[in-house]
Amino acid sequence: MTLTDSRARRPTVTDYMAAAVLAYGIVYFSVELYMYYSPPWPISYLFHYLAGLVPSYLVCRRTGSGELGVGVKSSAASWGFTTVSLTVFTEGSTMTFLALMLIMFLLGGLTAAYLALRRRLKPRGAEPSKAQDNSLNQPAP
Amino acid sequence: MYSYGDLNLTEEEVDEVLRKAAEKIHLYGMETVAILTLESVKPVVYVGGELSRVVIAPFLPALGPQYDTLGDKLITIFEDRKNIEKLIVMLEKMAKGEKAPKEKDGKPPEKTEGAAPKEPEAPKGDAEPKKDAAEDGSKPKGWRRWLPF
Repeated sequence: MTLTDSRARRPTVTDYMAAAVLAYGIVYFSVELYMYYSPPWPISYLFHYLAGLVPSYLVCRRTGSGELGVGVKSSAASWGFTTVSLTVFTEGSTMTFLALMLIMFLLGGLTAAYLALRRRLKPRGAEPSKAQDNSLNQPAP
Repeated sequence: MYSYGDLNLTEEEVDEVLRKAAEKIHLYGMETVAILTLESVKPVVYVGGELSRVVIAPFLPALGPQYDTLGDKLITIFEDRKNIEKLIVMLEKMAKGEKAPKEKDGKPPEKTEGAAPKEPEAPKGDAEPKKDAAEDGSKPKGWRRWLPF
């Protein structure tokens, strides 16, 4: 399998866990929001979608190829961490709620994979450059 | 060398088929969606190839011997994950502009026609914005030309 150096770059477990913590942060923010205010219930779907989208996009930006797999893995890891955290720290999380959250996380992960792949193939600006390839200032592998 | 039954395919033949597929996808500007789709089906392409041998291949001889051979050839090529990965790499290179597609068959992409004399850039009028966009070379390719934005 012919892989260039850039395509061989993959996120680490630390990246996935950081994404999971960020996803739980967004979900926890929505939980707190519903404790003090009463926004319309569809907003919670949006929060869960964003909780899958934002961390997965950030993780997908750190891969050189295979964005779809990375996005789905990141969503699944985020869902697992969020499920455990919600079960431990809050109460009332039903199986239906967790299943809907998984669906929204996966949708967010798929969207993030698409956005990251499009960004990698057609970066903003005139032409792709090496500087855009390391926009997170990561050390060279 | 790929061999299945009476079919023997060299690496050059495989690359030619993959290149044609990549050019067609590039022509319609569907690289991103195609790469995502290929990545998602890559783990099950072997199962899909074997299923198509059972479900589709028996009907191919009814279409003619050339389609029978072509169908076998395509199934043999696209049931290998390595070839799917090759196609993804080709598409990524084409999307980044690193590898210009050949012009011998099909319509060449607009970038390759850059040597042809272009019309001078006329000031954009409000009357026919679509026509102006087509003239200055910024005409959307493929299915995107039917989008209103």
